[in-house]
Amino acid sequence: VTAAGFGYRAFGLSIVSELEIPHLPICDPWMRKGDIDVVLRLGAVDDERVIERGRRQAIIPAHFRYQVQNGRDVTIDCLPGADPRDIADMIMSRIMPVIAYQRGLLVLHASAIASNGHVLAFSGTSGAGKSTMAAAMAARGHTIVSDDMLVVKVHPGQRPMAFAGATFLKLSRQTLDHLGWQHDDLALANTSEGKYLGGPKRPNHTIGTDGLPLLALFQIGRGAFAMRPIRAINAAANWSFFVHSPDLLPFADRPKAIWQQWLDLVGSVQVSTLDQSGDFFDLSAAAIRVEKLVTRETSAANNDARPR
Amino acid sequence: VRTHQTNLLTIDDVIHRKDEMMSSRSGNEWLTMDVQKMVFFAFQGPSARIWELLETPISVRALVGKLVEEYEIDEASCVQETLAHLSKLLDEGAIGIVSPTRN
Repeated sequence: VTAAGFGYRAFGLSIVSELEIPHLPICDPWMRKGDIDVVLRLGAVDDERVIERGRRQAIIPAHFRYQVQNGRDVTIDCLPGADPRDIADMIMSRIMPVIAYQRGLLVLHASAIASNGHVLAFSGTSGAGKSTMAAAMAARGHTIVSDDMLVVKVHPGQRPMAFAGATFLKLSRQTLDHLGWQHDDLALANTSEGKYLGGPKRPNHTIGTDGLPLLALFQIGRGAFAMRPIRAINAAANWSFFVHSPDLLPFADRPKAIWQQWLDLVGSVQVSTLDQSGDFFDLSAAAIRVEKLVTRETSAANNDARPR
Repeated sequence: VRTHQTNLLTIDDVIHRKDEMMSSRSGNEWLTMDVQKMVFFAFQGPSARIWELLETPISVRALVGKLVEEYEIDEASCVQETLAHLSKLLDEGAIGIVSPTRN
């Protein structure tokens, strides 16, 4: 049994950390050693840059040096003057994907919500509106599953399972105001973007640690409001849009197995484009359209599952 | 039939999917990708069936035999169309020849 300070359960992993990561759902840090998947410690890391399978060591200028080994052991060496909020935020955006890939997990660049027992993922480039779309859904009563990074496990012949990650969304003051979510007492996600870690005032229930089936994947884009299905092969070929930090994939554990999961995923869930202008009116319209799709698809899935 | 040859491929060659090709069945089509070149293909209809039959090494002759059994097509046309399709896959690097029969 051990306690390293903070305990988190995210991405299907049990994490103990000497650093607080406010983005993640907390759990009891006292865990049996055999139950711990990731240990994040503070310690010295030298300047040598190492990028190989099972080991990555590098520096994020002005923030920290880090070493990640075998998707389990993480050492963070904070640089003088670095802000703890920036360090936690960088751990989420830069270190968590390394951990996941070293463990052979498929990582989508997506924010996600749960609705009717199924997960919907909103994928897109930075600034496309992934978190904002997830927030628009959360404001309508759906549960936040993850922000920016979504771990999905795909077994052939089964529906892909999505796991809870960051359960707060990184949102601008403007978005929070539009949703009617107070930001006075919210924590800043970092010191550079002016975004807060936000969510509904009374959070909806969480999805638990076992994951939920992924129902649909949306490619968020800018333009006149439209939602159109994408052929599976086109979605597959557009992998660089959906997959998180593709530059890390060659150094993943069993990258071919990850690509197999990617193909199985796009072949088994509905993938659609979801364009919106960035206007909040469009966002509400998009949320309503997405809800209709969920109702139709979950009803079809339930009919399929019903004994004949 | 024995004399058929298209580009590099002959009716007696044994062919196989390349190791770098990943595949996934999605409804009536096969999604495939070359993980080295990051090239993607979708196969439907007879080309999906051909891809399925290539799961283990098979001679073009045996492949044509199965297709003639399963589809309404005469053997000569099937040989011609199958060789043309396989030659494209060979050019794309999706399949390889296990045992070339040419001298």
